[in-house]
Amino acid sequence: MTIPRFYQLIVDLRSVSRTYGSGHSAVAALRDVSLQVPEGELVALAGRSGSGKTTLLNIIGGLDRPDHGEVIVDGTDLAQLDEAGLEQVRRETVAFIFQGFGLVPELTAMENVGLPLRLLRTPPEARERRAALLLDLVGLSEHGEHRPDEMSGGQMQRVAIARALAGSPRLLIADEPTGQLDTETGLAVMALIRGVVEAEGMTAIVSTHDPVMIALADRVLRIEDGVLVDG
Amino acid sequence: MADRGPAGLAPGAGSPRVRSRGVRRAVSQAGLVVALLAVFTVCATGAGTCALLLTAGNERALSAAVAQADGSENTGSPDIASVVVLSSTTNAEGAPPADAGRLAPLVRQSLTDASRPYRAEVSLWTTTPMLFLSGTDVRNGYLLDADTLTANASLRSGTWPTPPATVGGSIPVAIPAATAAALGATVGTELRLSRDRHDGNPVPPVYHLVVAGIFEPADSLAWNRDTLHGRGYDPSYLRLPTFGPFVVAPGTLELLAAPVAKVDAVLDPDLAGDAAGVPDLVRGVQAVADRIKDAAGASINPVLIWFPLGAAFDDMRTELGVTNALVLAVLLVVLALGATTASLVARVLVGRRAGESTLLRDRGASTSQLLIGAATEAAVIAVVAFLCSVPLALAAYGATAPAAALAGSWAGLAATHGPVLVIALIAGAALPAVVAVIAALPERSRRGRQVISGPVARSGIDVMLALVAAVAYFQLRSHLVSAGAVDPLLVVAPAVCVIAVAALVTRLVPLAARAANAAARRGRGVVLPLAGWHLARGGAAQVAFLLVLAASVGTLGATYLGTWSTSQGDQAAAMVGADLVVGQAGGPDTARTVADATRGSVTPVADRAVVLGSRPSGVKVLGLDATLADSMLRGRLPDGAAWSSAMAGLAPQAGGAPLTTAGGPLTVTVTGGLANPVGSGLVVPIVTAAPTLVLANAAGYRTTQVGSDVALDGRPHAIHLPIPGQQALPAGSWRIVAIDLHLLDHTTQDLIGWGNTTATIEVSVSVEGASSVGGAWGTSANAGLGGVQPGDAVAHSGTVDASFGYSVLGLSWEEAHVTLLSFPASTQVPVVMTQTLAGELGLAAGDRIALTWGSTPVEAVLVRTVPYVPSHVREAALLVDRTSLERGLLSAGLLEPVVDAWWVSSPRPGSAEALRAAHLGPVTTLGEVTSALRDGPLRAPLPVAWLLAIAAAVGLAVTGSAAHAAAEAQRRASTIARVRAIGVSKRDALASHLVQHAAVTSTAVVLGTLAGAVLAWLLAPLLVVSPRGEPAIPPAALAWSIAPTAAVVGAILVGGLLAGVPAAVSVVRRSTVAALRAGDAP
Repeated sequence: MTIPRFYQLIVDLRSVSRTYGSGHSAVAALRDVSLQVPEGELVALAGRSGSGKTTLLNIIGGLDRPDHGEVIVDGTDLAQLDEAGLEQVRRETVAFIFQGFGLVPELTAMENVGLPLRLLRTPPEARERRAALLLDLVGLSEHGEHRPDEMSGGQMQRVAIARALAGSPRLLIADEPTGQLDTETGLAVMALIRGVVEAEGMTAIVSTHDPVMIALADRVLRIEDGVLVDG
Repeated sequence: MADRGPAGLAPGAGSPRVRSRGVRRAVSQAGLVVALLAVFTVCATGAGTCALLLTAGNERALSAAVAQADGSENTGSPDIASVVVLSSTTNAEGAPPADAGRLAPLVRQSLTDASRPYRAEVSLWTTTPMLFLSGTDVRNGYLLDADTLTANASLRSGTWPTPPATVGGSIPVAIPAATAAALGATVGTELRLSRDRHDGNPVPPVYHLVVAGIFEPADSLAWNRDTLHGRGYDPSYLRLPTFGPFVVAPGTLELLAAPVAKVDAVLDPDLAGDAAGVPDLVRGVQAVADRIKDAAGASINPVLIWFPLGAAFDDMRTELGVTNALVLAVLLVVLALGATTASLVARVLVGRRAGESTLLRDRGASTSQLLIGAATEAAVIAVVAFLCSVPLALAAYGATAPAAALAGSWAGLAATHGPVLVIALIAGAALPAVVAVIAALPERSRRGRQVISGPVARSGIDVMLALVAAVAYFQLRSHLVSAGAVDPLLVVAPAVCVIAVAALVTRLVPLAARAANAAARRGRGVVLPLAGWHLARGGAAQVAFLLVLAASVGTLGATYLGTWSTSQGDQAAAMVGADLVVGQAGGPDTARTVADATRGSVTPVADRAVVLGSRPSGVKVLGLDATLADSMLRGRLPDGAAWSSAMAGLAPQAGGAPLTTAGGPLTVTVTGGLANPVGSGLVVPIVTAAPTLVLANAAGYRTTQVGSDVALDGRPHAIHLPIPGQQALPAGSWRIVAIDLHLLDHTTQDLIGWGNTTATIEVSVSVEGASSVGGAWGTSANAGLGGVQPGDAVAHSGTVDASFGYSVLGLSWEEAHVTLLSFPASTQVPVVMTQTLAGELGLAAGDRIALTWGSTPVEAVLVRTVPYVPSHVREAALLVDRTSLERGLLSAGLLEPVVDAWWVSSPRPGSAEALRAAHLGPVTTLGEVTSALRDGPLRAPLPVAWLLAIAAAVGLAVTGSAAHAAAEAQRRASTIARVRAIGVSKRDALASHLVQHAAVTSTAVVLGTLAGAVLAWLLAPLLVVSPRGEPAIPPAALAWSIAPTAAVVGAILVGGLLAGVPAAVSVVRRSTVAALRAGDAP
């Protein structure tokens, strides 16, 4: 049976486990985690610090590899990919938004947003048009020539969002995007993410312990000690 | 909690916990700590090596140079002292002349005492005053006691003389072959010499001589000590025929207490390669004159002492001072490199520990406490560097010269120069340690981007330094190096110029970076933009300066070495003048002997001092065949001009019409007489002429054959040459280039009636067997009251016909000479003059000035000027064509040959040794002088110091580049992780890092190479000086050593590039999620 696109799984994890270290110092960050995220869904991943949220997101985004299990993102089994394959996934399919914004400090907002487009070999003119459009989308069209040290935390996170959208990814992964922001700014950022997901029709997984973001999500997953308690 | 320091600090620096932490920290940052240790060690080694060079090295170098100067009388080496004691045979006090019994031992003992502690050989040639030789004619002879006779003569017959059996008995003597021929003496002939004669009889004391042996004097400088220079006979020495020397056995004159006219002493000290006692030796010998005069009393005239060792030793010390200054200049450059690298590595280390420092500050640590920690660590590293540098400095010192020149006892070295070495090593390690501690000082944090130009450029120090460097450079251009001690300007100026230029050029690096960044941003990819963005961010100022400085030093060093080496060859060529020089005229066979030994082209050369105009000090004249200028003369002229063009116009235009004859006995027929009948009532003057033939062979050697007086009475008179006492003309082809007629009036009757009348004499001189192409001859006259007016002369076949007028009354009072010349008579000699001399005299081309050759005046005509005359660098000198000179002197009446040396071009290998074995006099070769200038013990440290500096530049550049790359990798770690998280491939991330590193490295190295080329162009000609520190002559021409420079620059570039690879690979490999998380940490 052909699954309608609307209900096509973007993320399909099966019995994923990840352990750091070995011997007595081994830490089981994830234990036999399975989850499916259909296309277009905004999923909130909640849990306290050290519960395994970031590890789970990194594995989904191809930044890390599980010790066991399958990781299928947009129909591609990440475990079968080599380093180059994972890089391609990060360029074309998945986009990250980091708690620390993850901007390149030497680049302007425009250059940061255009960075994923350079990876896609976008011509300079098209690249600059798209970057300007995205900055306008996030309300920062007048800050295009500012560098990160010339912007507030909220502005930097919005630039990060714009950069994440530059390559038109299928999956947006945000790890504690409002962790370094005040409440009001965090609310605005979360609303932006929500709006972008709906407008662009993309899927998003957001790790957060912010009740406002949790309230905005389509579904909430809770993880404790590396185990999903709500699937 | 135990061990808490003030203000809640962690434990003090001396506590075990702190030490343990320090050790663990150092181990974890081993790479940077080792880099710092390497830098400290390089600086300490450089300082220690220099200290050894300036102390033990100087002593050894001087001793080696002194050992090379140790020669013998016949090699003309500077360590030979010549002391001539002249005894007055008559004096105002009426004291008798000194006798050999007192004077000879006094001179010998005085010189032996003066030469202590050196062992020395003292040779005495003691000569009596002129004595009368028995016989009817008044003839002179003299006795000679020469203790080195047998080494400077070869026995023809008989035996060497022995001391007389009894005082007053027969005295065995040996006489030169020429003396024997002139006297008709053989072995066994008995002769008498007496102090005086009366009515033809000898007056006691009389010396009864018996000829024991006949010898041939060797062609050696020793015979300059003989009154007749080994000729054996002079028909008119002090107006009397003189025979001698009559050589007695050594010690005989002392035994006889014979009167002494001259004691010619030669002191040959065995310097044994020990320079320490040379100043005392020189002072002691110079004081011998007073000692002898005090002991010998009024009978001694001033004692003449010639001892060039003092001046030579001063030259050696000056040369060493110049070398020392240049070596110290190199050391300063190395220390600048070391300090820069130390600062760079220290800053990297500080950056690596920024977190720890921040934590300590937050816990209350003060700046001084942190500095104490840094200073303690630096001190520990400096101590380790000191220990490492001891063997390295000793090894480097041992490598600075050939083993034979500088090798010595290491134990002795440590004992005598150990303290200096230790101090230098400590200072050398302390300098970078202080720099490192200063680098650890907290720098005010700057919000925003770091400017790549760095704090030096921002402060403008580099501009101020450039101004100082400009002043130093212009001072250097006009500077005369201080003699003896190390010249401070020569030490400091080069280092200041190098550092200043490097600092200024470093300002261009950010310009290049911005241009690269702008170009990269327009592209599509991510590698170049990432590299350009990080490059534009800055933080590479210090490594850029280090690479610029290192490349500058490498380029300057390689070019300087090439220029220096080439200049030594040029200077040697100018100093020697030819490929090989035999510094003695010798005899008629000398040219053939030299040619056979060298198989090169041989030419006679005139080389002596003359008086020019009214200039108080003499001027050197170098005369050689102008047609051989290019093949013979060595030494570079400006703009590549040839010596033939410099000597153009000096050779005579006219070839001359000499008579040609074979060697051996000659018969000359002279026919002459008054051209017109004598008026009635006048006495017919009785005039005689003694002809002297001036002959030259194909090699350019000239000689004379003197004939006896013949009357100019209208009848032919045959003269058979050689006359008794002369040697026959050697076999071969000879040209009679001039015939001199010595005119004397023998009229006994009254010539008053002649008044001022001038009579004309026609004379014809025929040489049997001679021939000529025929043609006009020139005539010249040299007469005072004799008043001779030269007339015409013409040669045909073997005869020269001439006529001349003369003042009858004048000739009766004074003799005259008429010289018949095979060329047009002219006392004008075209000359080339040094520019300095021409400027001093205010002369321009075409001007004339009087030149006095000995006592013969001629007129020098200036043709052009040259920067220098070969073999007389830095002297006021003239360059002439030898034929023109000879013609001018012959026209002025000087018949003696003008050969002082023989120059050779293209001699075969081993020529010098063969010529020295033949005892022809001092032999100088261009190869030996060049080798001495390049590799001599006084010069050897300089090229090796530069080689060590170049090696240090490469090593320090790579070390600094690696440290910077490690720091840069750490700075970029989080960025690399972030961009990889958004999809940048590992390959592109690595490439961007390498491109950034390569951009800084290659830009800095290229700019540094260009800066080094500019520095070489500016400084190398100024730093390549003569051995005495004067501007080089000819001026040093920049020699671009392309291959060595490319090798050095390539090593810095490749080393610097490769130094960045490990850090780049490491940071990309570590760009994992952990790095991402760490980079995201607030």
